[in-house]
Amino acid sequence: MLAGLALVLSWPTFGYLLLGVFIGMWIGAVPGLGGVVGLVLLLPFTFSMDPVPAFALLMGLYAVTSTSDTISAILLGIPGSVASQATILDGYPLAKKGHAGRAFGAAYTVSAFGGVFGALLMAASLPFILPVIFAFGIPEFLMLGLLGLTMVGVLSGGAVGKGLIVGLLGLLLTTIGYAEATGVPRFNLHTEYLLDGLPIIPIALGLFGIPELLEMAVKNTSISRVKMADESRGGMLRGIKDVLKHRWLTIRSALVGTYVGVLPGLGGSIVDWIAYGHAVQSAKDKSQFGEGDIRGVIAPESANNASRAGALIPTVAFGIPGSLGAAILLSALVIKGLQPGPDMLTVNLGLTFSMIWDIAIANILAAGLLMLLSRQIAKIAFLPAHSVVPGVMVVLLMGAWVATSSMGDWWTCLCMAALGYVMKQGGWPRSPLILALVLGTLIENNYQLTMQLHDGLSWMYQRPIVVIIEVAILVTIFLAARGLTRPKSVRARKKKDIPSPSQSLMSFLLSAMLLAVFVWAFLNAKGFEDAATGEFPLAVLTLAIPLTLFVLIRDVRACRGGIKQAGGTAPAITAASLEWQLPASMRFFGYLLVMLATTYLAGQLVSLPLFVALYARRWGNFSWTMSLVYAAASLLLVWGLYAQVMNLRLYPSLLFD
Amino acid sequence: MIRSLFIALILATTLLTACGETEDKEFYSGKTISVYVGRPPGSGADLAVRSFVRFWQEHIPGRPTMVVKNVPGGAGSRVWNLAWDEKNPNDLEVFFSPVSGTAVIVREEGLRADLSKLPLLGALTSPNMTYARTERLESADDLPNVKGLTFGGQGPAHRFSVLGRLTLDILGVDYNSVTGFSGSSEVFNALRRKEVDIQTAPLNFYRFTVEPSVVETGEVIPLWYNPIINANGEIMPLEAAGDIPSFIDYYESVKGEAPAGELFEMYKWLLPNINGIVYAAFLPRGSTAEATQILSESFARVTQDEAYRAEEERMFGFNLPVVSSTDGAKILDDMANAPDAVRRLLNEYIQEAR
Repeated sequence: MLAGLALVLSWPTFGYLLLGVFIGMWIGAVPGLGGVVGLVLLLPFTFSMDPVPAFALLMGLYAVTSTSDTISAILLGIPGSVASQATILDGYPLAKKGHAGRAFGAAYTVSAFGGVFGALLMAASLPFILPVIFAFGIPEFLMLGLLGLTMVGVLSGGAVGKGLIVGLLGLLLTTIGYAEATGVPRFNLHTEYLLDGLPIIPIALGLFGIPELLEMAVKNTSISRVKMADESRGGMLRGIKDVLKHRWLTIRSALVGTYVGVLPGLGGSIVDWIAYGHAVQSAKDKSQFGEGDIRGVIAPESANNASRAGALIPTVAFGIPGSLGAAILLSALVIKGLQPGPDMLTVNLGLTFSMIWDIAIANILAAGLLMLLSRQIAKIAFLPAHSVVPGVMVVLLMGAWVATSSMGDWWTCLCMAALGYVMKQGGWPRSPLILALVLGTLIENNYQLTMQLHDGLSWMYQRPIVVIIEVAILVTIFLAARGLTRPKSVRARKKKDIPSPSQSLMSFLLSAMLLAVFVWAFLNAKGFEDAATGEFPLAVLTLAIPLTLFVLIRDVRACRGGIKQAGGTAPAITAASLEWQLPASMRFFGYLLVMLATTYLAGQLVSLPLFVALYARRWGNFSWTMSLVYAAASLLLVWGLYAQVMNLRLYPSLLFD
Repeated sequence: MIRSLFIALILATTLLTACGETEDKEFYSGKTISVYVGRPPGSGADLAVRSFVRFWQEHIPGRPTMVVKNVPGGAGSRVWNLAWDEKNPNDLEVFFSPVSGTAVIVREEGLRADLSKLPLLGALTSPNMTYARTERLESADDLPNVKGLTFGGQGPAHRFSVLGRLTLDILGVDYNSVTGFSGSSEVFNALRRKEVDIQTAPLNFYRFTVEPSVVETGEVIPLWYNPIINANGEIMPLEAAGDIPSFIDYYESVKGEAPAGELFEMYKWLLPNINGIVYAAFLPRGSTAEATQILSESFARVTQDEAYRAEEERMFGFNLPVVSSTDGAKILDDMANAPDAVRRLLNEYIQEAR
């Protein structure tokens, strides 16, 4: 193990590790990018390098992207990558309260801890990890997916019915495109884009990011709703103290992250949700989760960094990649002429330990560097909205473009933005949608495989791990139901969650629309020829339709009350549109639609700078000079970073092809 | 005078021809060629294309810069549709990606492009093979006599699922087919967990992942490889397979006769097609003949480049068999114009697994 450390600290290996850390910090901070994109960009440069420095560069990058992706999650409510989706739930509310520094302090501390803990734990677990990996078969994966789904209750706040519907909508969205089991396309509206299903990043960016930017633009507020002077209340030191206070949660989350990261197919996309769910379920006082509870930042950030180490060991030692990032590292090993397997634990043990040290040291370096920068980064939360919105919108849209580089990504992002806006105004929780998107494919595929591999339902009671997970699911549902029905919490919730008339109206519109979508999907799914193609969507819709109908009826009643209270339908609609700030919101979407149309005509190199210039000048009241400078900077960003460095295919415009 | 004029004319012609050639050869000098791959960044195909392209740009006269751009979508068919739909070809866009033979033959939804009408620059293939757990097999020869084995595969239309099932059916093996795994690694994990007994996978996957971890321990034995048959119906030699027999040899050794029947006829028809081309590079329709020639010649040179071959050997464990442009064109044409009977039979066969 010490020989591995000596290899990492030797020159130029340490230099490459530093370089990897710097690049990883930067890539992680840009929404939509992330570790996989970074690895692909760096991989060709490592072809001619020796293995130890090559892996220092790659591991340095890969280990820290899940640390720096916290920046956009906390500051903007935008998941920087798949690994930081759960962090936004409490990180962003903390920033809104002026506690961005505190959230950063806690996030970076636990990220460093999680990364080091995961690496060391994996090194210690090497002798017995293989049986653990193989103890989890397909039925166990199915049950783990279902266990994750019980988190919907946790993520729904007071609106459990709506949360369940949103979760079911998420599951339905995962059935778009080719069914894995049969290879038959579903719900793709005969479009090529939908054949592979909806990519998750444009959905997450649209659902969470654009509605927040819209609110900032319409209200002209900074991210933080409190003044900068109050930030001292929530400084970084407080975040570090929070970690010490919640040290057991930090350790438990790192444990969860390490061992879930080991399981192939689960990996980093689910681990933050499991850790978040654990934080909520193990807390005595749950009232602040979703409103800015620091434990909601500590748990996912500790887990997601630990999972990187967890995914590495089975990759190197057994040739079983735990995630796509790990699969690329596996390719890098092979290109270097190294064979994953027993050799990596004997002949090349020094290299294996050097990789573990790479992760540990990279995490400490990144956390330290980001802490140094945090004070300055946190100030973004206090900048005026109009100086932040256009630039972030460009980064967000290009982040969505990374998914498949087609206009479908932008349409997905915009449709989800509209849905996110309506959900926000109607008091519908948004997080269950992302959770269901992460879990839907996993659940359906493993269900289909389980039913093919096992006769009947004997697997449900003959496999010990399945039984343990079933008990965990039942306990989770029981606790959630008890929490909902306890008189004290019911009273508290009723007081807190009484919807305003405008909220009821928006909720009614949304539930009516969702009901129509579900009915259409049901009729469509009835037409699928093969049972395996239609089984899962039909099961989802069988639950979704009556539940949505129930919520719709409740919304109709609430709307009637609101109309009565407002003195008629017209005054109620007028009051609601005022509360929604409808004209300004429509204007914002109008800007985005014009930008989209301009892209079809002239491509992104024209449309995005034009959007920035027009927004800054007309909405932000910037001077022409400032607006043009801002536009030029965005042009440079799109051309330099996305077109040249990342070699993304930009849209071929009709005018300038 | 006439003689001087004649010599001047010859000189002028030679110089002009030389200038023309120079201009052709230097067409790509200082230019950037975009290489589109229809798989996401980091996927196996993406890494293979990126590796090839690093060498390709060195072999093109004028040494242009080649940049790889990912355009995943449409289950891998979007990249071909982009090539097909390109209205203003400029000889600077190359489409280099895996070809799904079954998608072409059964005319899967989403694939609009007719690959046989795109200018082919070069193609490579990648052999695949079948292996099984040893718990219930003492030797590879026992396979036809063991009942209730489980075959694991990707989607029902995936070539490994089709070839794997076909060979087992031709042998008359009693087995359950479980399809719907999302990749070779997932099937292999299930095989290691004893959920699956038999798998068909790329030979390089076998060499790098299967052999060191479970073949050397005796948990798994190789059964056969699916041979690569060229457009003339000849079986191509495959040194990379080592001692592993081809399916046809395996069949003959356990059954004592040559394989025959409707399913074997389909297997024979499919082999040169879905197994014949795995990676192919095209220019869009309407590209110039000069660009096609320059790029196809340079593609061929890469496959002979010792440095590339060494890297390919590190990546795959062997050198990928090269498909000649004549063979490639014939294979693409055969797939695009597959007889209705074959298409119907293949569709029905895929449907059985759903």
